[in-house]
Amino acid sequence: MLSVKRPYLGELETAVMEHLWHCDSGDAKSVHHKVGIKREISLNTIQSTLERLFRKKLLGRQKVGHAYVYSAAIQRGELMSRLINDVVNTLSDGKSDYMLSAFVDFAARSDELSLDKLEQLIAERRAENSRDEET
Amino acid sequence: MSDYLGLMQLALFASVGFAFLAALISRIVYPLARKRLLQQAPARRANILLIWLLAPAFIGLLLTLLSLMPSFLSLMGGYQDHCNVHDGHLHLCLIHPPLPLNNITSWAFITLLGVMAVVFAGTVIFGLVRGYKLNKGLMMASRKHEKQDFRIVEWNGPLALSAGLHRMSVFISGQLMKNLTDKQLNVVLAHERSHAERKDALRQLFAHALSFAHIPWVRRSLLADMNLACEQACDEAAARIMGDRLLVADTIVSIERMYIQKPLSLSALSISGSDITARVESLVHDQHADSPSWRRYLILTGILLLIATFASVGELHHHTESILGFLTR
Repeated sequence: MLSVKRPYLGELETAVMEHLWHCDSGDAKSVHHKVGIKREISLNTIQSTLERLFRKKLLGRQKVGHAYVYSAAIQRGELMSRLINDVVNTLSDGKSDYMLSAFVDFAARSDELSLDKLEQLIAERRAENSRDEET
Repeated sequence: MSDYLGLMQLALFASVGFAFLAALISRIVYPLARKRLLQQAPARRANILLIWLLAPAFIGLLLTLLSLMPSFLSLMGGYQDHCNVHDGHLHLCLIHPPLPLNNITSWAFITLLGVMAVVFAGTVIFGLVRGYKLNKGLMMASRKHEKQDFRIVEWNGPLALSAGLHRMSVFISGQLMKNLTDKQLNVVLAHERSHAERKDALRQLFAHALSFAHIPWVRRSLLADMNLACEQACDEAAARIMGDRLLVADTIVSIERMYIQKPLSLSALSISGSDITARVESLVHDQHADSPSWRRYLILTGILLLIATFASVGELHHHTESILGFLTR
């Protein structure tokens, strides 16, 4: 089991992961060619990004000749679902968060009966409005 | 700087005292004012509650500055130095600053205040870091909608939220998009975008960070009321945009029902703690007092209070010195 509890990635890290998910594997030079050149980023930066992702256990690597060949150690879907679960679990702990505002409160639930009553209230008001419009 | 250590100690004690007094008055007045306040239009209510939350800290600071005003005016040469009338009385004076208080009680109190400030600031910073990380996680786990200005999160639950501090982004889960009608989806988007337009995240940050002087349970109640007011203000905005209050109410109930029908394996869900009922009833009944006289009344009261305070700056200065003298004897 990988210990990727909060795998928040920067923009370049995400781009490198996306590239490796797409191409299966690659060494620093090939990643630099696809991801680095259009961003005007040096090979060293790509190498250190790959190293960082390897340390975060998001990439695996094998030494082929003098270079490491990197591949994704976690699939895209799994990483995304971990991220979302992390967000949802944090939202559900009931603590207020200044930077997040959910349409309905994550940490508090109404019961069926209350919702039935509210639906009835809305229906009554709608009927009332229709009657007012007719008269 | 060390010459002013004593003055800074006294100014700190005075501001804590004034803030505590304001918090006590808030504790007494808020339950009486709350019913009337809840009748106000949500946007105005949210503004009043924000001011109320910040009031003790600002009153503490303002009254302390005003109590130093006579001495400041003397220093500037606009007011005759009155040190000679003090005759051994503790003196809040910038020209002849008082000696530092070196007794254990004073330093213990200052240390306690320091610890409380660090804990409170730490909590706020932790909340900011947590929010930043969640926002980053959401951005990573979502993709932009092709046509509209929101992001889609591939999650099998009914997720709809806005995240960010200065620039907020709206996130909607794929499952919610599938289960809502186009009109309902537009209600959700209008509601969430209204949070961004109103800068509700910044409002919440200021409210949490600067309401430290309130009595904790009063603070909790004020924050909960402000949160409800913000949600209702966004419901009202969505109702204006869609031209149908009942559609907004209906959407809220529909989404809440999705949560109930598909229970999430979450750690701490509380039943009936939700503000759904208050929001739906507010939309259905539409009974908010929206009279402009309230604003005029508030501004007038504020101006009168300021005039009264400025008029009695001398008295305030003298009584602050007397009370501080008594407390630090």
